[in-house]
Amino acid sequence: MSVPVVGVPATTGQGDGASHPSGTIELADVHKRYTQGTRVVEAVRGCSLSIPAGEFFTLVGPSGTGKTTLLGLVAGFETPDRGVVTVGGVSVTRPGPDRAVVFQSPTLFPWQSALDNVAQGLRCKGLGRAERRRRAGDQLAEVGLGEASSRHPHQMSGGMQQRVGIARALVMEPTVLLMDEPFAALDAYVRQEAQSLIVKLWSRRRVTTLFVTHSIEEALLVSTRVGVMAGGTVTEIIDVPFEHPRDPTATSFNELRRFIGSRIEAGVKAERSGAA
Amino acid sequence: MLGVLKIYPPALVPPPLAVLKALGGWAGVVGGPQAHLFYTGNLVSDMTATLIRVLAGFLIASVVGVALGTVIGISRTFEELLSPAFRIIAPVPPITFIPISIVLLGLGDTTNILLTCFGALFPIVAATVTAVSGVHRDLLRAGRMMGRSQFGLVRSVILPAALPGITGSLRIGLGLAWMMAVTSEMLAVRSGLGYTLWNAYNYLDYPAVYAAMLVTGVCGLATDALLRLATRRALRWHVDTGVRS
Repeated sequence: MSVPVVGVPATTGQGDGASHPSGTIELADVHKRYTQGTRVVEAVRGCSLSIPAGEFFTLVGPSGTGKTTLLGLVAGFETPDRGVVTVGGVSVTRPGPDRAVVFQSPTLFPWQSALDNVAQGLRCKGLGRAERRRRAGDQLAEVGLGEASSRHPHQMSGGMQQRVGIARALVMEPTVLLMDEPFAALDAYVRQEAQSLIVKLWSRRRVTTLFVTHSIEEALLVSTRVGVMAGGTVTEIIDVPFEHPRDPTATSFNELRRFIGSRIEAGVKAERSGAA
Repeated sequence: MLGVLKIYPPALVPPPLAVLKALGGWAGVVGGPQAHLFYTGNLVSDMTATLIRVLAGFLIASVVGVALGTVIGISRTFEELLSPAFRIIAPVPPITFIPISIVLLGLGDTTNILLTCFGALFPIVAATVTAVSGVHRDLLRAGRMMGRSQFGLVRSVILPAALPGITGSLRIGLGLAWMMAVTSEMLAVRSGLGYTLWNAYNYLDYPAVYAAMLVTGVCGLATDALLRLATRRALRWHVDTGVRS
């Protein structure tokens, strides 16, 4: 590893920061605590993480280990108490359209049709109304909802709503896509469909993706790397060596699943004994 | 009913026919003894006068009330700044402002519209605050991640999301606007439904008093129906997901 990977100045003068491809996510010794009533929760404790551009990175871990807080820090919904979060070399201070978020519940605007919801994502781009609607329509078609564009959120199933949420995020052409347990509320079959949809979309665009889930199987099905979170930091990073489409019944898949499960368990035990 | 049952003498509780006759005289379409009273033929002009005051007062109250309610709903600073004043003024019945308004502004439309606006304002502010501060945090986050400015968030996320609650407050405010407009007409101006009602009472013309109450109720109903119609499209999603869907 003698080749320096950071700090190489841009020699061509092209683009924005050749040393940091725009989709790179970097966290350096990030701390975040918040108060719940009188209780102080240290959600993220000294977390450092580097996600290269184009990667599909998934955080797994039990509830309360700071996965969602970490995602919120990258999104800019939260600001770190200590440490720095950068995306594409630029420090994150507030939310912005370069970092699209797919929320745990679809969080669509209930007063608008699917098409208008997706077109909302384009409002910041300074496009005309007709062009916004055209692009939104194309994006809906890409997630398989071309026929449902005039429906309102309450007229759609949970899976369809979440696909609208994904379309709204992708239409913004973000450099980073952040997904917070987007399929947790879906039933098993719809969930499988949604997983293969995002794998397909990611393979096509290679948007840097930070994905949060409880499910080890889901993490192994979609991502290129999996980070195990425990006690507010990423304790272990595992490469996923399988080609898409992945077979969750394969022996090697299940061995890796068991391994990650044991690492999560170890993290939970370590935290409990540390807290006691 | 009370008249028919002879609990009260018919002179004090007029039969429906007498009320209709008074109404006809007021409208200028019934002759006879109703043809030469102070209100004869004035129905349309009285209704118009009251309606203009109600609409003017209500519109000002709506704009000011929703604006104030929105700032208080989204900003803790404004909440702490303005809430104490509201909490003191709100329980004082708007009617008690009639004397000082007449003293300061004199008799006339300005006084009446101001009082009408005042009557509708506080419920609109209070309900708007509740509706705005109840907008889900994740909807705001969705708006922010799409690059909305603070103003853009208010316009395209907070107000549409809070609209069901705000509309409820506007309907309450409209009812109160009618209440204050008619009440203050009894004292502060020389035209309108409230003026006619109070004057008829002074002339012991009880059928006309009932007629004025009836017209007020029907006008209030009509404006409420118009308000519901105007907001129906924007609230379709909310009606569809409500208890009664």
